[in-house]
Amino acid sequence: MYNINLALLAILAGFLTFFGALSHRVLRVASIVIGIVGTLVFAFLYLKPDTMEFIRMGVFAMSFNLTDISRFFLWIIISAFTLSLLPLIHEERSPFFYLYYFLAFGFASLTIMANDLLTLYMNFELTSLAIFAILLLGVRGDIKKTALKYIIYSLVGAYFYLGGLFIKFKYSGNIGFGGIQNVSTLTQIAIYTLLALPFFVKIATMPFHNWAPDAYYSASDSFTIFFSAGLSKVGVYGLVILMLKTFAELFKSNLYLPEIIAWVGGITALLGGIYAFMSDDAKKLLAYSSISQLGYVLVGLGLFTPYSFSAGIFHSVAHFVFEGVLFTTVAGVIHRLGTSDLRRMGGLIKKMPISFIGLLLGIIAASGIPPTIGFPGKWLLYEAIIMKGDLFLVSLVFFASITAFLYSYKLVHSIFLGKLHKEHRDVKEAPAGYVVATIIFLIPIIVFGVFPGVIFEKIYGFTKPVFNHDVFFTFNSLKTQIGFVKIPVAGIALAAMFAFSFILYLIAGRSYRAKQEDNYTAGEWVDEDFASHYAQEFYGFMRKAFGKLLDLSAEKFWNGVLTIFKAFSELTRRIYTGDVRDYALYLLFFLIVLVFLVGGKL
Amino acid sequence: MKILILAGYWILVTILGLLYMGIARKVTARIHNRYGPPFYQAFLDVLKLFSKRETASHGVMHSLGPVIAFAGISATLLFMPLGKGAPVLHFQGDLFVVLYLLVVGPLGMALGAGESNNPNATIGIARALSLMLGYEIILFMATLPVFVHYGTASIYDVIVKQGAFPNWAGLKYPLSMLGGLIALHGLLGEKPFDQPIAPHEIASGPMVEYGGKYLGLLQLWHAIGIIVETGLFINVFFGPQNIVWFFAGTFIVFMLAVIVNALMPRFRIEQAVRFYWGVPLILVVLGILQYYFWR
Repeated sequence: MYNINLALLAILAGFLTFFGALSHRVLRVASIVIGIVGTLVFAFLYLKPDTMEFIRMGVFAMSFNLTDISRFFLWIIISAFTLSLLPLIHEERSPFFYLYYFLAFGFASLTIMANDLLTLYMNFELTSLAIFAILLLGVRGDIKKTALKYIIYSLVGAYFYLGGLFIKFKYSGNIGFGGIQNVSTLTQIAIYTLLALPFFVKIATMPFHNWAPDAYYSASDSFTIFFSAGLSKVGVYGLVILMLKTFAELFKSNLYLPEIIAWVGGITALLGGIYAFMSDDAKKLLAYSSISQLGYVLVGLGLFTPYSFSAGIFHSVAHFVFEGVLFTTVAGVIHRLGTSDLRRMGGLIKKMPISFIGLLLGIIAASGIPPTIGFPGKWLLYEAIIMKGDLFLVSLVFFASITAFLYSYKLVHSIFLGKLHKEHRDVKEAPAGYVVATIIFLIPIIVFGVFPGVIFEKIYGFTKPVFNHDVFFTFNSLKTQIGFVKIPVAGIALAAMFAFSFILYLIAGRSYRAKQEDNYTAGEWVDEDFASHYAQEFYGFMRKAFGKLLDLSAEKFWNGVLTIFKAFSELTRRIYTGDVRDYALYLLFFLIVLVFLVGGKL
Repeated sequence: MKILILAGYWILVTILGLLYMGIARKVTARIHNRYGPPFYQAFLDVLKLFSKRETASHGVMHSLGPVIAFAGISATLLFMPLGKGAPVLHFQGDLFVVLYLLVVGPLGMALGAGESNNPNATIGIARALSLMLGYEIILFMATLPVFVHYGTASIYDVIVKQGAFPNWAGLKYPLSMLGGLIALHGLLGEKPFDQPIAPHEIASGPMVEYGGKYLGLLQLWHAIGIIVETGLFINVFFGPQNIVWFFAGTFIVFMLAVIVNALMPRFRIEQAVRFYWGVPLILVVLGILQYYFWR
């Protein structure tokens, strides 16, 4: 059985859902369920290490191969996809939306199974196109502009990639993943930059990120689960495969390239975090947090030491889990309230307790607190950077990790804590699809947080041939040259202390439930309409602290680039006027110059 | 057996923390030329708070907040070596484990305070989190050269490797030590960095809706917090070779903070954050450069 049938199956399920959605609500739900079950059954039963090839034309051929790396990332995408389909059951959209949704998954899975750079390119672009179509069916904001922005970034990245592919073909004579021999370092760096650019765009590395907040904001809420948790991993996969297979020698020998990429990742993590806690919209906040967390992944991958590389890949798994649960719970809240504006929410903890627990564990993992899945990756990343000796980089990454606490708290407080508004008094828990997806996401948050070795073992399988490093983990502990952590001990210590402190709480007198308005306000009368929810300008004072830093924007940077580009085009237009008489004049000038230069020899 | 010893240390730290708090009040009063409460006042306060018959709660998270806060700081204490030779869970007195566990407590309290629907509480939390952007990075960058110098990320190994008086890391890296001391002041939340509490502005911030046993738990949290936070500084920079020196060191550092606290007014929050990105940042950057060029 061929692995690529997974994509065919997805496309088939997409058409099924398309017709289902055209005909009746029940049929739509049924076909989505069939899609989920079919994908999972195929993935469990028929995915096997296997190569295949068709349409061979000279050196070019479409070839697919399910290696260990592909399988690892494919499973992330399959999980993200199937889990995001659960909330999708409750979303009513145009029939085409479902079709593109399944197509995006199908092409993404083909991208990951591709065995050469051209096949990868083709499917990568088809994925982008499917996402473009989905963004055109967005739900809020300036939809057309957002979708255009996304596709322009993707296309520019793609053209650079294609350029890089041709140059690589010229030097190495093939378009496989293999390395390039006998080429100067500078050329290799150039080829790497060209080839990696679309993947940097995909994981929204700064300054190629500003499609992301708008896209996440305006896209359908269920799709953003898959978009952030699943599709961003295609970008991570692209970077991983380029680094491990094609440019491993370059990254090992060159001193500057790893540092530069790691610093770009660190700055992305920091600025993403800062923009996250300054945004007032739940989806935009999560979009920036996703950008920021992928920044850590880039730091880990870029630094290219065995520990940092493993940490980067582990953190991308963590990213899938916690961004998945965060986007799911927030989608549920938006589904019930009809707005994604944080300033219009509040006090929902009693109304939506399961969503609250989901979001809470999500932010705890995003902040990297043990024993959740966010911790092992960050821990290993810090130790890896320290072992490499770049103390300023580790400070930058640590600074970025503090911003996670700020945006996490803003998110959980603005939605679930504080004042319950009058109009939300009858809000119910999110629909079943959201709740089930949330609960399923919560399992890996704890399980892989306590036993990270399960994932590190898989990662070790494909980093070993490149780095040739020793095993640095058991199923529940990590060990580097400078540190050691056994995560269950931290978990047990926390649990034991919680039990003790809870007993202390229980034996010390009873407590009664105070009303929402029963508060200390220094004598001021408080009733239902009293605006006591602190959500507007949550970190407003930080505007003054950051000062000019917040004015930095990639949008302005690209507008500057555009201005230069336009001026240059204007200059060119003066010469290429399109008027035949001008061209005749140029020809005349040219002949005169030729006569003077060559002189009597003519 | 080990668990019993751990429990013993834990009780000792709680008692000493409360004692520090009482002495701090006495010292502050004497600086202000007042008589002040007795040095055992903190014990009386906790006893009183825990014996209240009834306490107001705003919901489950509001009740659990102080419980999580106390549990978090107690768990952190288990990973914090009390000087050389003290049997804590120190085989992983790993810097990053401690730094991340240290956040569990404040996070719990933040969640609890948030549910109370009192804007003062949330403003306090927002300020506390923002202030972290200031001191936390300074503290981290200050301790970094020491950990790298001894080639370990374990706090216990740093204590053992640096040895007694003339070999103190604080003397090898004086600029980092100074930066760390300033950062510690913010971590302790003493003036001029008490914006999160700011009694005259936001009515003691996160604590505003807490009373009775909840406030009692928060007092215990604060007591252990003092020792854990000052202990981190002492362990890294002054490598206490036994538990007596550990407590002496934490006491001196804490009293220093209390004295500064008694003399200072309060920054506005953005001024406080800005302050940390000024001179202290330069100090710790110089400390790191010292590691690179003049070990």
